[in-house]
Amino acid sequence: MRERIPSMYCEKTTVQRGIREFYFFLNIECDDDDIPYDVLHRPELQNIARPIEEQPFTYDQIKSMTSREVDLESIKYARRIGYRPPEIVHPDNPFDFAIASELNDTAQESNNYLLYWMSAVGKGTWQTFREACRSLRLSTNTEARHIFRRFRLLGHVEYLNSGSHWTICPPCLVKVSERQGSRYFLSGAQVPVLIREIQDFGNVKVEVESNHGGPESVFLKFNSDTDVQELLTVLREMYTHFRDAGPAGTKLADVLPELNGWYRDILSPIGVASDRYWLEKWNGEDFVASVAEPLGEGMYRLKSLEKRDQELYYYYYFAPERNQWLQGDWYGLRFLANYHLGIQAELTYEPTLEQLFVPKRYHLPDLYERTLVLAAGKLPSVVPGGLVYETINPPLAETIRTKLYAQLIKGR
Amino acid sequence: MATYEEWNQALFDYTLVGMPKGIRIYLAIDDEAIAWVADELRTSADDFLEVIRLRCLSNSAVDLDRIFAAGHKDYDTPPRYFAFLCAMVLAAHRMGENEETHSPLAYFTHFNNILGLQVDGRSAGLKGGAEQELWEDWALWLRYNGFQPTATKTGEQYYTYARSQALLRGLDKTRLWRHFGLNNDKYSGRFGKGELTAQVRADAKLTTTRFPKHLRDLLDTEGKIGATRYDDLSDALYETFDIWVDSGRPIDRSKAHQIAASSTLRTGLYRTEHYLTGTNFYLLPRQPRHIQANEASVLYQNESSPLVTSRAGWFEPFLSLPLSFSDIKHGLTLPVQGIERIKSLVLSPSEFWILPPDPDDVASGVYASWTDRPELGVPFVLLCSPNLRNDVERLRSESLIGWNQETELDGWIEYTSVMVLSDVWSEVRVEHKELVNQLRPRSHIGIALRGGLRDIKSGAWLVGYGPEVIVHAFAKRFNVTLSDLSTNAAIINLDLSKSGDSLPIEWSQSGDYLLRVQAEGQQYERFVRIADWSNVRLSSVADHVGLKIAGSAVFGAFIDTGN
Repeated sequence: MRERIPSMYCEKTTVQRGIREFYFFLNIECDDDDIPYDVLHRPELQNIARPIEEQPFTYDQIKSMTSREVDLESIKYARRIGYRPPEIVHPDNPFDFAIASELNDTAQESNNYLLYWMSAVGKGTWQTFREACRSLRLSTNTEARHIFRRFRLLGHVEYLNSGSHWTICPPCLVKVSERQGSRYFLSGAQVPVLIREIQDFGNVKVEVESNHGGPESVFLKFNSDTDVQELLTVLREMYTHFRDAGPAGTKLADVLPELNGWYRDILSPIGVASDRYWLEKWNGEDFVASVAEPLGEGMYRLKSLEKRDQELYYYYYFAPERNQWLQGDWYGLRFLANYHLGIQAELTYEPTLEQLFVPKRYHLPDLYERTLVLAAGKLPSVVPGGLVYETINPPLAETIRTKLYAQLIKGR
Repeated sequence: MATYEEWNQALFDYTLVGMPKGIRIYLAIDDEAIAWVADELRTSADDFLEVIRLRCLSNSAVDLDRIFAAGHKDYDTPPRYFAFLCAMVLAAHRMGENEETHSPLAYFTHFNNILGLQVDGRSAGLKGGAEQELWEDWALWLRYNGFQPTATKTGEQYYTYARSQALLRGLDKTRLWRHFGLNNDKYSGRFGKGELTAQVRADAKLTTTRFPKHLRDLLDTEGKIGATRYDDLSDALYETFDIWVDSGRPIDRSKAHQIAASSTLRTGLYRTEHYLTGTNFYLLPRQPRHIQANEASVLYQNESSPLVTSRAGWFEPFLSLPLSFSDIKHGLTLPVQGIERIKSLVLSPSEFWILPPDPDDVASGVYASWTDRPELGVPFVLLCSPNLRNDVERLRSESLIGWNQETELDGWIEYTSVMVLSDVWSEVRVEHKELVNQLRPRSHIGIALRGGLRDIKSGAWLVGYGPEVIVHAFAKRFNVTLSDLSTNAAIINLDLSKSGDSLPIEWSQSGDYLLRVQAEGQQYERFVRIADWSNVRLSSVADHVGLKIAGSAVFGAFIDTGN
C-alpha cells in the first residue's frame, strides 16, 4: 500500500479503560475527490484502525483533534504543484529556408511592433526573437526565420554568433533610386518617437508604405540634398550612431563579387564530420539521398545520425577541389548549386516600370537580393511564380545579371 | 568635507552597487560601513554625522521636508532621504552593541546621539510614524528598480523598520571571525551556505561559544530553515566567512579587516544551447559588492578579457572561453587586473549547479547562475556530477521535483525543465544535504511572468503585450490582487484554488502595477510596468565589424568602403 499511502501521521489520543488510542491521519493517493474506499476498507488497515469518517480532513480539522503542534510536513504532503512539463523547444536552425514562407499580409502592425521592440532592446538571442514573433502572433517557429530574413533584407537587423544572436543595425538614411529625386528610406533601428522627430523637422515629407511580410517602410522626400544633410545633423545630435548610407543598393551591388568570387571568397569553411550525418544532395528540384563516394560538388542537406528525433537540418555546400564544406545563406547555396548543375537563372526585367521579376526557383542569394531591396526601400511583391522587385534601374539590373551569370529577359 | 549629496550617493552605491536585480536589499549600515564609505570619500567617518545634522535638522529638530517631498515620484535617481535612512539603521546597529533590551527608548537614545539632539525618547520633529512614509517610499523605489524590499515594521513600533535592516553587525562579524579562527579544524574546508549556517547555529548553542546576544537570537530565529530571513542570514554569514578565508583565516579582526571586502570575484555558470555547437558552459562573473569596476579585465592563457558590465550585479559572460567539465569539477582561478581590492576571479568547484532562466528574458534560452535557488513555478536546469544521481532520483521518487529530460554531458548529468513540486522536504534522506538546502522552496507561493514583449533595459512590458501571469501555490486557496500603483486601487481581486493556471489579465493600459499573492500568512509580490509604444526609446547599437567584402564592410544597409 506504500504507493497509495505515501505518508501518515500518528497522534496519541485518549486512554480509555487502560487502552491507549491513536489517530492515524493518512495521505492517500486517489483520483480527484473520489473517496478511496479501496484503501480504507483493506483488511490490513481495518485490523489496526477504522475510519472515523470517510471524508477528507482539512488541516484545521486535524489540528482540532490534536493536543500538540501538528507535524505540518506530513499534513502538507498532499500539497503538490502539478508538474506540467513545458514543451521541449530545441534551438532550430535560423538559416533553414527549405520550408517556404507563409506570408501574412494582415500582420503589418505586428511587424511594425516587432521592429520597434527590436530597436528598443538592441540585441538578443535567436530564441528571444522567436518568442517575440509568437507573442505578436506572427509566426509558428519556422516562419520566424523568414521574418528575420525579410527584416535583414531591409537592413534593419543582422545575425551574430552564427545565428545564435541577433542585433539591430544603426539607424540610417538610404537613398533609393535616382528617378525618385531626393527620396530616402529609413533603415535600421527605428521607433515611433524617432519617426515623429523626423516628421517635426519640417523640410521633409514622410510617407509610409506597406511591405509584404515585413514592417512598413518609412520614406522621406526632401526638396534638396542640403535638407538631407541638415536633418542628418539634427538627428546625429540626438542619436550619435545615426548614419547616411547613401545609395546603399548600388553601393552593395558594386562591391559584391561575381558568383564564382562569392563561392571562392565569401562562403566560409565549416568543419563537418560527414560520417555522422545522413546526407541528401540538391538535384535542381529537391534533396535526394546521397551515397556517392567521394562527395561531388553541390548543396547538401544534413541530418545528424545522433539526433534523429529532432527535426533539425543543416545546409552546406561541398567544394571538392578544396575538400571543404562551406556555409552560406540557404538561397545562395541553392542558387550556386543550380548554376553548377547548369541551371541558369532567368530574370525578367521591365525597364519602363523598373521592375525585375525573379522566379521562385531562381531566388537570389541574400546579399544580392538585399541590393534590390535597398534600392527600392521595399520588399518584393509576391506574385504567382516568384517575386517582383520595384524601382530597379537598368544599371542595377544589369549589374545583378552580370554578377550572377543570369539571363535577363526583357519584359512586356 | 564631503557634502550631504556626496554621502547620499556614496551610501547608495555602497548598498546597491554589485547587487543583481531581484534580490532582497538590506541597508546594512553600521559603523564599519560608514568607515568604508568615508574611506571612499577620502573623509572621516564623523563627517557623516555632521552632514546629517546640517541637512536633516532645523532648529534642533528633525525636518523631513528638507529631504523628502511626499507625492514626488522619482524612482530613477537615488532618493534624497537615503542617508537619513542609513542614519536610522546605524542607530539600530549601535543599539545591539551593549546587549540592552530592544525598546524604542533604547533605540532613540542612539538615534538622538547620532543627530546630536539632547532629548530622551522620540527625536524632536520626528512625529510618531513620520518615518514610515520614507520606508514605504524606499520599498516602492526598490520595486520600481527590480529589487525586493526587506524593511518591515513589528506591531506599531516604527523604529523596528530600522531594526529590521540589522543582520550581522561589526561586533557579530568580529566574534564570528574569532570563532572560525579558534575552531579552524572545523572551519578549514569548503562550506555550502546551508552547511555553514547549520554549523554556526549548532555552535551558537554551545556554552563555550561567546556570540553576542543579538547574533545568538538571530541564529536561533532566522537560522532555522524556513525562517523569513534564513537566506539573507545565510548570505551574510557566507560573505563573512568568505572574507575571513580571503584574509588568511586570522583569529582577530583588525581595523583594516573591518573595511575589507572579499578579494575575489565570484563567478557562476552561463549555459547556452546552439543548433550547431550544442550545449556549452561559460563563466558568468559577478560584480563585486560596493566597488565600481569599469576597467577591469581577466587574464586567461596570457590573453586579457575585459570585464564588461551587462546588467546590475553581473558582468558579460566570457563567451570566448567555453568551459570544460574538468573546469567545472575542479574549479578555476584567474587573475584579475584593474580593480584595486580584487585579485582573482574564482569558479568554485561544486557538485551541482542550479541554473534558472534569465529573469530579464525568460524566453532567451539562456540558463545561468542568476540566483542560487530556483523560483517557485519557474522551470530551471540542474547540472549534477554523477555522484548526485541517486539523490536526485530520490527527490523525484518522493515527488519533490520533476523534470522532463535528462542528458549526459561528459559524465555529468543535466536535467532540464526541472521544477520544485512540493514544500515537504524535511523527511527526505539524501547524502548531499546542500542539494536539498538549495532546492527546497523558501516560499509557498510564487508568481511567474512569461511571454509578452519586454523592453529589457527599462524592464517594462509594452502595452497590449504584457506578460502572462501564472500563480503557483502549495496552499489549497490563495488570493491574488492586481493594483494600479498610481491610484492604489485594486483592479483585480481573485480567490483561487488552482495553482499553475494563467490569470485573465489584458494589460491594455500603460502604468505601474503590483501583483500580490497571499496564502497562509505569506505574501509574494511582483512589480509590473507597462509602457506605451510612444515611450519606447532606441537602444544604443554596439559597433560590429560587419561582413568583409573586397575591402568594404557590410552591416545592415551601411556599406563602409573605408573612404
